[in-house]
Amino acid sequence: MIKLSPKAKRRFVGIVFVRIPLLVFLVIIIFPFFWILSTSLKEPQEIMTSVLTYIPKHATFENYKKVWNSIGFNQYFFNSFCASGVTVINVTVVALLGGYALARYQFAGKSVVMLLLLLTQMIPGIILVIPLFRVWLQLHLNNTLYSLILTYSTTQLPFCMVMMSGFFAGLPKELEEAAQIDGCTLLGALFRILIPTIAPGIVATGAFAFVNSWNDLVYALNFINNQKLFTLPVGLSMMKGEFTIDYGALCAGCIISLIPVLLLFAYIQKYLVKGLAAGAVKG
Amino acid sequence: MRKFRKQWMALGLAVLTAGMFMITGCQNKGDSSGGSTQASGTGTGSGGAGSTDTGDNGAKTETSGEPVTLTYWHHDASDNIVTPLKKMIADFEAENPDIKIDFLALPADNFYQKYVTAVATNTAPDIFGVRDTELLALVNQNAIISLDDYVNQWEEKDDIPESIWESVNSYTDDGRTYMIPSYMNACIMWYNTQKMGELGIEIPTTIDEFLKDCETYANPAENSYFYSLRGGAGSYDNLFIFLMSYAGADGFFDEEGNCVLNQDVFAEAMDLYAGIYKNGWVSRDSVTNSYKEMVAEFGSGISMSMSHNSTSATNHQENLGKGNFTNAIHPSGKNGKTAIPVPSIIGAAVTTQSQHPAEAARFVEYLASHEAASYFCEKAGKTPVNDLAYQDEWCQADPYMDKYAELMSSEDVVLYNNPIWLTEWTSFTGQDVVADFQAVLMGEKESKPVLNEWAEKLTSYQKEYMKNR
Amino acid sequence: MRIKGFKQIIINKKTMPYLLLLPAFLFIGAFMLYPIGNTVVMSMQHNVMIDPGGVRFVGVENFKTLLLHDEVFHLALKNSLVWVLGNVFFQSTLGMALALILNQNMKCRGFIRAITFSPWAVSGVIVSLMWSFMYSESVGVFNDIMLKLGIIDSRISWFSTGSRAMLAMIIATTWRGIPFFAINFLSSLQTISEDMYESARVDGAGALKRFFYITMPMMKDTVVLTLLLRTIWTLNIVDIIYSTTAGGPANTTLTVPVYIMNTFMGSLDYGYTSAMAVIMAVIMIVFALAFIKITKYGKESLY
Repeated sequence: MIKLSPKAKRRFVGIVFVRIPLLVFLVIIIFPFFWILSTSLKEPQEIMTSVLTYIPKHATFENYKKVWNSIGFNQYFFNSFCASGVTVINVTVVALLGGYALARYQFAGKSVVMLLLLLTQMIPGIILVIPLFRVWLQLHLNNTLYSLILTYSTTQLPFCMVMMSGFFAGLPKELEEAAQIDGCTLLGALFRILIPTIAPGIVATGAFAFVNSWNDLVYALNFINNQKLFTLPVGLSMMKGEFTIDYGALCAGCIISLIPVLLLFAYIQKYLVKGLAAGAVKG
Repeated sequence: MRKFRKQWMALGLAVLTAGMFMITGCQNKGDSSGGSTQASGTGTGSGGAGSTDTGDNGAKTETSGEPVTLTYWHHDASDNIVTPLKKMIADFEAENPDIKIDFLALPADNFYQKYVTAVATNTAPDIFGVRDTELLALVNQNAIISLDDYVNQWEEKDDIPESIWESVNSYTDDGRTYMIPSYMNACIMWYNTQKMGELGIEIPTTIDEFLKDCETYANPAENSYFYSLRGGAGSYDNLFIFLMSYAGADGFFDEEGNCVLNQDVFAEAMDLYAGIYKNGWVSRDSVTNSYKEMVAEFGSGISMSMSHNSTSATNHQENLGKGNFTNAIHPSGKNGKTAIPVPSIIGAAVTTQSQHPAEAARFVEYLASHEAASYFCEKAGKTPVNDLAYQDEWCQADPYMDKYAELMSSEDVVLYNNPIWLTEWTSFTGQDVVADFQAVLMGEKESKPVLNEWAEKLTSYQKEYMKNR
Repeated sequence: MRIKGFKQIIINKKTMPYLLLLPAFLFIGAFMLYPIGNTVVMSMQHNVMIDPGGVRFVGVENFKTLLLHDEVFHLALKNSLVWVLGNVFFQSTLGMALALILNQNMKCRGFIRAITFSPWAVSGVIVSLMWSFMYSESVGVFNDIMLKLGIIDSRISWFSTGSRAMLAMIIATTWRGIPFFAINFLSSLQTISEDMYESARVDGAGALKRFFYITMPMMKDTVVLTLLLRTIWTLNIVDIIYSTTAGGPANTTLTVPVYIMNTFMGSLDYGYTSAMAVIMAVIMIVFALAFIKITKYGKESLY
């Protein structure tokens, strides 16, 4: 047996247990995207063939042009962005407060509250659409982006609150106690100490709330009657006709709608790092 | 300390409100003329001035001379449908300056969901694009009005054959006309002539020839088959065409309303048809193939034929290229005749909730008029119902159109009626037929018991229907 | 001096949780109460939309039919169980593995994390259509690759049997769901302070011991919640099943929400489908309660 130095052992472990699995994961995750990208650059006859090509023989940007111009993707984009963006702002604020309450307080009806929150996630959208539509009708909000924002805020709220409470619960009580000894109010401690500590969690949860709203189809389809207010998923599903399905345009649409979301995530993921409040308890 | 907390709360609320205001800005940019509701920018969402109750019908106040705005929802949003429709609408608006059309194209897969929601919440538009399969349900939901009065005064009424009108009126219980047809889908077989030419295969005209071809040219190793069998969603038409043609039948029911499917000849036919799958003459995936998989197999040259209807011509053109395929009438059964369902008819209807039914009817008539419908069929690849359209240049030049005319007039073709007038038909074909047929294909159920069950169900539905008339 | 100010009466330790929860419940109360209540009411009605005049109260009849006579519903329940178990198991274990990997320092970390997140960011429409395209027996890319690599020698038909179709869709949904677990677990990992690991290392604990005695307990709450949420969400997934097999072949991949969708679109029976939704919700509530109790969630760090 070869005796490895600790450093070499570390590197070996690093490669076998980190780098190789990572590579495998990346390949699995990236491959469908590669295929989607490849299809988006193909002409229709090359897509529907029994002899598959992985690199398009005649790459063309026709699909992208079609999607962006004639189908009006830029408008759908903007709408999705508005709806999801405002949703995330709403939800983060409300969920932080509620999550803290769930995590740190034992009060009457707590389990009922938790169950109620989860209950809103359990009923399929198609059953809720008609009554919810009636609610918006009463408030004169149907056919506006408001109806979507409020719907998404309400449906994403339980998830975010539950996740936030989990993050809060993972923090030791000492943190707030130390801050309060130093003269902070409870909420001050909340905002100055706790939130920075769980910032990675908030970022992650916010990202998911954003994407969940971004990808909703049922509510966006049923609540909006104005094509200029359609969101991306509706726009994408419009590309599948009764008897036609334009895979090329669909893939182009997918890539276009994916890029900004990924860029956004790549930017905010820097908050998914350790030690934003390291040493908060020490000293 | 209290102030501190207040500041945070205020900040939170400010962010919320700011966000909502941002949206008002988005709203105004994304608005279109007439027919959309917006909340005035208070940020709390309570109705302000300028919002309407129903939310969709524009033109609440009209003085004479002010254009009436009609909202029109269409059930397909793909490019080749929307582009011609938009031009047709522009032409209509030019000819009729007192009407403006607010057009909304919906995704083909979920449009019906939206129709149902709109009808249930009283926010339906003025005009629906409708297909025969949804017509009965829409009438039962009290969603669309009878167009008898308008049609009787329509000058182009007689350009559409009597048989088409009969079909349209047969979809509902009371025999009234609820939609004006613009085009139809006639069931037809598609063949990949290029590949068949290479292998020296002729288009089969009888079921025996067809089955023989399936067997001879089944080549799983090379991923090549003769036929694309549809076992998944929408399989009922292909199945019943085969059964009816084989048995030489002309309908589902006899005069008393008994379903004929329990006769032995149908079990024989189903065994033969299911045999195509069980013997391995088509791809294993076929059991769940819906339209898109079927067209993928045909379009990529893996199968050489598929049973569908007139609308897929454009699809095949894109996938296979012009001149490499053709259409033909389905193979005939023992008595030398082919049975196909009366073509599916698609048109437009006026909603009950419309405030301007007369203008809406005018638009619906326009959509079905010779000029507009012919243009639409040409651009979107559909088959017209208007006789005059068949004389148009594009129709004469189209290599596939003459088959449909032949189909409608040939003596060797028997047209049978799918019982669309039964309220249970949609769920029967969508769930029972698909699931049971798949079970037969996989060998879990036998043809005879399945057909007996279907016959029993259909008989009970039909008897119920006949009782209530 | 002992007279409490008005504010102190309103805002104190007892009322604080309720105040903090108030905004959330304003949202939910205003917008969800009516729809959910409506669903429960309709589940006890005979309410078919193509028969608008025939709406009437029928009590528990819908439930009786579903639980006693509707064999397709029983099958759907069974399929739902398989669907959820398969999905959640694969997604959570693979997600955890991925989170542990991503927790390490490495080059291009941001880029890799963005890639990891991407499956979740794709619209359900695309996932359904593209994956069913890739799985196609004849024109699908998976079969093509496996053939070319020699892993199989004849094309696999993924959708011709229930179990294969279920597996295929679980794989697709796992691909989509791993980011949820990975990123959430990752963020939870990030909040564990390094000191704990240091002291453990000093005490001589190996990597596995560190994982089970430090990492897992510290992450417990996040893990429990993520699992619970993802279970509920997975149960409600419709798009990929509806668009590939629509519950077939012969209802072997029919899960409860797909059955609800099919029934609703087919016969517009609002009452019956609401009853199905209620049954599903009750099952999930029972499960959630049991799950929370068993994992002893949230029993620490309380005031």
